[in-house]
Amino acid sequence: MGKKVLTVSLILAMLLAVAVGPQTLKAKTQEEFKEWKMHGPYWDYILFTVITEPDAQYLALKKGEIDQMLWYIPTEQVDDAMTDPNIAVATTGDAGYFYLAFNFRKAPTNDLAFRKAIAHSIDKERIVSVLLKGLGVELWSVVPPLFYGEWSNPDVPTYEYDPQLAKQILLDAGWTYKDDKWYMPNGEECPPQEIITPSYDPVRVQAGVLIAEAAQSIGLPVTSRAVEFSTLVDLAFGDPATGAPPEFDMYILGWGLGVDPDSPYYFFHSSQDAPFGSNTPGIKDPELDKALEDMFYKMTKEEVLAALYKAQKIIAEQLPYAPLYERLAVTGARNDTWTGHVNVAGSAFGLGDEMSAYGTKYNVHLRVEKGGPFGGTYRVAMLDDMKTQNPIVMYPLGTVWDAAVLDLIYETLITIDPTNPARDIGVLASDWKMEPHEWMPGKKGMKITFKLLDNVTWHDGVPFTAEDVKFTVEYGQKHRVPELLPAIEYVYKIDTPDPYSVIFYCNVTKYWALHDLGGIYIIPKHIWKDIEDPMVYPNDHPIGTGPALWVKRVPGEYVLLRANPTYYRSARLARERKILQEVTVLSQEIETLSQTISTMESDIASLKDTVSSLSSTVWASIFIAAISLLIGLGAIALSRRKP
Amino acid sequence: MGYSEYIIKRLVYSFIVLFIVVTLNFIIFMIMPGDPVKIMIGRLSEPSSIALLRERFGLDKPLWEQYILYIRNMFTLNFGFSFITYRPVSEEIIARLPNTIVLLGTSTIIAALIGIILGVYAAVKRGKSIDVFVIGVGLFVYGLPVFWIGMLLLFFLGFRLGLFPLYGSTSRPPPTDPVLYVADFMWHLALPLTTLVFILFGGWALFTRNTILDILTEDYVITARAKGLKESHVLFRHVLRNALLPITTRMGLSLASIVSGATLTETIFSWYGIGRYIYDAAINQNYPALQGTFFMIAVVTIAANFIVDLLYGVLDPRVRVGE
Repeated sequence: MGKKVLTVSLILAMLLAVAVGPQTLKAKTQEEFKEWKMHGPYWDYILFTVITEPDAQYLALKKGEIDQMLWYIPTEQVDDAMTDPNIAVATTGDAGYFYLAFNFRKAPTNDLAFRKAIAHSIDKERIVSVLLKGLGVELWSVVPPLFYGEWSNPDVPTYEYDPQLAKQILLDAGWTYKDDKWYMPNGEECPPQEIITPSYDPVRVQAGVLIAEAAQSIGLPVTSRAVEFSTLVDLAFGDPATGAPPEFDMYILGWGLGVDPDSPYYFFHSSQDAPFGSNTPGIKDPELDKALEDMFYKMTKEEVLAALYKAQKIIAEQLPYAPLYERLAVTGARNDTWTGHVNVAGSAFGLGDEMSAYGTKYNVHLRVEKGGPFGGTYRVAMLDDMKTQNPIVMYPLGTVWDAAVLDLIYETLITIDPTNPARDIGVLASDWKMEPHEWMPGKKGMKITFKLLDNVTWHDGVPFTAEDVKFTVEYGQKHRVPELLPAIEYVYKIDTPDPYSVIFYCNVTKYWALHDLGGIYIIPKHIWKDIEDPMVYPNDHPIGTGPALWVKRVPGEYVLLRANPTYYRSARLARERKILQEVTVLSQEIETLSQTISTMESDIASLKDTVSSLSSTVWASIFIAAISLLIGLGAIALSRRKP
Repeated sequence: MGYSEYIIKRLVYSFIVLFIVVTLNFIIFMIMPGDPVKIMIGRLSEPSSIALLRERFGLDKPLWEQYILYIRNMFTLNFGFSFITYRPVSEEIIARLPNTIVLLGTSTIIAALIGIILGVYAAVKRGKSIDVFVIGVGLFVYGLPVFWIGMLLLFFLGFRLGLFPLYGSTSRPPPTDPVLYVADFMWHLALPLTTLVFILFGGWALFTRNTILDILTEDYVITARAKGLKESHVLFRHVLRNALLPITTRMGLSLASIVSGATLTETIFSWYGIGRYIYDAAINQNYPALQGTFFMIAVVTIAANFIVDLLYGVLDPRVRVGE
């Protein structure tokens, strides 16, 4: 028995050594950081510490006081970070893009030839290399490729920087150039045109100046003016409160985008050229509208992708926007103590959005030589304090920092592959299906079925079921939560045929509904059912299903979370389960071996008996033989004696 | 006019000023360009979301109704809910106020003490090298950008030498022992405090020097010296006593800045204070937060002025009798 225990202990120790050994922690190059698993976390605690100055964050990272920045490394520090062996640097496309918009409501910006001429006056290479110091890429589509991957159409028309070609395009379109003045095809002189830029961003201010100067070089009366941001917003979007329409020729702004590439519908569909709409150029193109509607309302990914490609092509041809650049996010983390960082598309190392929980924070672990992979406190710097702990008002109130924390507490049904934005992966759902469904006779709708995991519990131990999912959506509808409402208002019925299945019946057909519904934080019914006003509920101690448990928040200072020991995707539990399986197999083998040994022992015993009995027989035989011999010899001797 | 009559008069004036300030506080935000709801939820929002938020924050009501509601709320210290966090503004202000008062209060007092001592010394030694030095240093530090000083201290004392922490008002998490907690807080206070003292003392030194020099040329000082009084007696009994009036005024005005925070210093050192709160609120057009903080600053400023007025009455009897 004692030997068996010793043997099992030795095997256990060997398995542990294998589990934490270098085999699972291979060295990575800076370009990689793509290896990730749906198991985590490895740390004991995660500390989100507020450092409001990016330079101070970087100094803290250099000094080893934090392990990761949740913000960009200041541009002037990037070279230093690149050469520091203790800092891993990741770059990826920013979640958004910057563009020059044209006003279709007035001449000459409503003339395609003029827009093309301006497009050929944009030196994107110079903007990226000089103004952005190389931390960006030239952009041609309104679906930026670095962030959206395969959703971006790589074959849209491009406009090389060539002011002389711009001049020729105008002349070919019936414009005339006389006495240093341009005349439009209708004979009127080209009125002065202005590019408005936001004064707070020197890159966009300088880009406006560069474009204006290039246009001026061929005689176009284009100037650039920097204005205060809210003034620019009012000029570009108009003011629905006062009924003031958009009032601009051209402007440069940027968009921060969500994980779905459906924004072109909001920016370019004719229905959005209205108060509160975002079609600021005022483009109204039936072919584009059709493509955008297909992109927005078709049910399969293939149909949506084809429509989105077509829309991108038309937009690049018609130029309501001339996309300028996609910024590169450069961020850093200590790699002397921790490893396992994941470079998330759109947010290097998980800058904070739906994807981040499955990126770095989920996979990062202590190096073996530091006692890893389990344990430790992972320290992450946030540029600002959390705005809210309430997942219901995460949108619209939340920031990337709120998301970074709440993503570890609350979970969604599905999310997006951190390394491939076009691929969905399950979180609380194990499977999902979209089917056509008539919500009224002759009216097209759809139903979305989610199969849920059956081994999930809330942090307080209550089992998670389909009722929680149903409650979350109905609760949002009942309380008319802004921003959440557009994602759920088309659900007219929810069925829960069993505790781990939920069916949403929708009165629209829309591929993105999968992400709308699948991307909502699910809240526990047993806690929230009694909350009367979810908008102002402080949610002092958040309870979710996620990988981390809430410990403490000191406003303005830090948020501390602890690894959820019973998390259904826990790396520790997974490892323990694996070890347990191995141990079980080995125990069985030992048992079999023991049985074999026992059998052999009994065989040996019987053999001994046999041998023993054999030896007695042999002695008896020898004795008999000897007696016989003696008798024989005696007989011989007696027979030889003469009478 | 008696002293009590003087006090009542100043009190009435203070309330009138407060009412005007509070009204202006409302008008300024209403005429500001931009829409807080749009900034709050971004441009991609559905009209239904925007309408819901307008309703929730009372922005759909007529302006006069908003004004009456606002006045009532201000004078009952109900500053409403923040547009950004949906949390009560009063709660958010109270959470930040202690840090701001400690940082700004301490730095103002230390800077004033250093500045006054240097100013008096420079004035007494007028034209000598120490005077030139004080003027030079005073002008130099007074003109330095606080951001630059802060980053410099952070880099050399915090990063290079590792003498002080790089961020926050306490360690994260802080020590649980109360004595260690206070020590930890002081350690974190050192760099932002030094930055502010560095920036502020020059102004105090120059101001005090000029005030003393003005008084030194007064007839009564010449008379006192002519009477053969000791220079220290002249300085402390005749010059400094009269210099107290402008210094008290300046100190009173500085009191208001103690609650208004120091945005840049707070940002550099990640100090959780009112300055950053005001800055964030202004960027996000968070009217309730701005109105709440401005109301608080206005009340403290008016109260400080009132106290200064009362002290004037004590320091200079001519004031209370209306001469």
